[in-house]
Amino acid sequence: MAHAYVTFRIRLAKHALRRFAASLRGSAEIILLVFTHAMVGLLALAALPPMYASSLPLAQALGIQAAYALLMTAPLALLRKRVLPQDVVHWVHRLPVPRRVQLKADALVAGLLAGPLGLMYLVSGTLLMYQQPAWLAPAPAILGTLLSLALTWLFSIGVLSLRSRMVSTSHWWHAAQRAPSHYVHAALRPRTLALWRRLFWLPYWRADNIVGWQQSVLLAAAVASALPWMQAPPGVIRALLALATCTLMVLVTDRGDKAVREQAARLAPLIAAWPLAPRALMVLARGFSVLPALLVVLVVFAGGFHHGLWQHPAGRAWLVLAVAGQLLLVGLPYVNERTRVGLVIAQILVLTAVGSELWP
Amino acid sequence: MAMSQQVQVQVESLGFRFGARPVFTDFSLALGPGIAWLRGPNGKGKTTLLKLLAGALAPHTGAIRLGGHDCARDALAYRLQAFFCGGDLPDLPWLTVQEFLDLHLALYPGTDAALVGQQMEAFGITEVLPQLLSTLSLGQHKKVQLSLALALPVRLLLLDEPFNGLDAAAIGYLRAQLAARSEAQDSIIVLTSHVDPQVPVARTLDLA
Repeated sequence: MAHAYVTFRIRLAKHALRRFAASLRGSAEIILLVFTHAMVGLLALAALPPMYASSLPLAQALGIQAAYALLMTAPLALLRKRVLPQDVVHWVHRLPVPRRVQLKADALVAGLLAGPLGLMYLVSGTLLMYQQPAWLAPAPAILGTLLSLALTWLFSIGVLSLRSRMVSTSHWWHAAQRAPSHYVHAALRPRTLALWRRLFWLPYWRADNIVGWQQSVLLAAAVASALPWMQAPPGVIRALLALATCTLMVLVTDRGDKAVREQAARLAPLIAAWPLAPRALMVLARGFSVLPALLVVLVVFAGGFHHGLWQHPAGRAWLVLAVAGQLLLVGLPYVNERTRVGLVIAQILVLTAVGSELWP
Repeated sequence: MAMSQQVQVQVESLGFRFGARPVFTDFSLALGPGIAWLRGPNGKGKTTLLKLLAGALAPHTGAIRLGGHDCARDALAYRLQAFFCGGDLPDLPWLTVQEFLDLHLALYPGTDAALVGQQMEAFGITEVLPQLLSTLSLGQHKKVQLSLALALPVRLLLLDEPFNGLDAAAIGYLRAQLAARSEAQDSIIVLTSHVDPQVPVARTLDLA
């Protein structure tokens, strides 16, 4: 019979994954629709790096195996705060759970998360075996794939073990600061902006909240797609960059607006007790969530200006649709998840279609 | 604090329910300056009544007035005169204590910041100012809330289990502060407590 702590950790991990899947439902549908072909391609090639590495000299092979296993550990590293929340880490720290049992729980949870990867390797490896490329030596390739899976599992255990030993860095950080001798009031000016910062900016960066980083990554990826798109690369690359830019731009607005709406709902009972008319604060919060997308539009505009794209009707239509679409997403009152997903997908498709006509 | 000596909170024919479960039906109450001790078994609506009096919950029927301001019609003016101090978990866990206090001082513009500092020092928690609220112990969190509550220039102070988690020195200090306010007769204090609060109580309300 498994130790109660091990059972708890597995239940916690399953619960975290279910919640994560539920929170992604809207975006997952969008990504599946837009990137289905790319995802099928990625699935088919999942086992290629470890299998190919097995055909190389040992030093190169080990380097590729380690790098690929690290890459495959990234999803777990990103999900670690959900799988093992900070308050659970604190709670467990006080419990008399032997280190051996903690390690067993980490290993099982890592295995739970590495399981789907094993299935992907199986499908991909079977496909590659069937195709029999010239470099493929079956026995070393299978061993290489198993080694990659084992390395990913070990790295995942390492990530979870580090997490479970990380007893709040904020305690340490604050303890390291010199304790103040008295309270000095810092006036909030301008008031609405300062309230927004405390209620709709700081929460996304603190207390295990990953929304701030998530939005930063989406924005950086959107700008990173927009810049080469506006260099007018030839053929299919341009089309792919247009698709990536439009998708990421719409997603950054969609996810940002969702986070703001959730935070507004969380704050509603508190604000109900405050002597505060919340309208200006809410308008500012909702308005801010559209700014990242407008920055992407600005990057596209600046890049396209050089090529004279905005002198053509298609260019002007793209600009208007891009701005209006983002404003529509954040300006809409509550709509159900299906309608919202439909709206997001329609925006991505229309913007990509019009965007592919920018160069006459 | 320059406040009217005739401050009064009036609850008229209050009706409130959670879903289909009625909590208050045709409930009326009038409270003047001084301390009112609200007591009763768990789940009988003590905290709900405090939140209704604070303006945080809206009555389904009836009216609540404080100093001539109706909690529904003059909501902002009403809430400016009332403060609910309660809950054992932080409402804004991502903020530091300093940020939490600054935020509330921005919401209640007439507050004397020096008085907040004095209360913090009296409770002995000045050193937690840079800490996140989520890292405070129950007692520290309670002291932060009370430091703020005792410094705000409100007419109606609603304290939900204010002695929970406090050390002996803090309990003594809080009792002295409440006694002084009771004597000054310049505000209404409604507190819930399962044990005798040992303060000069003007009225005891039983929610059975």
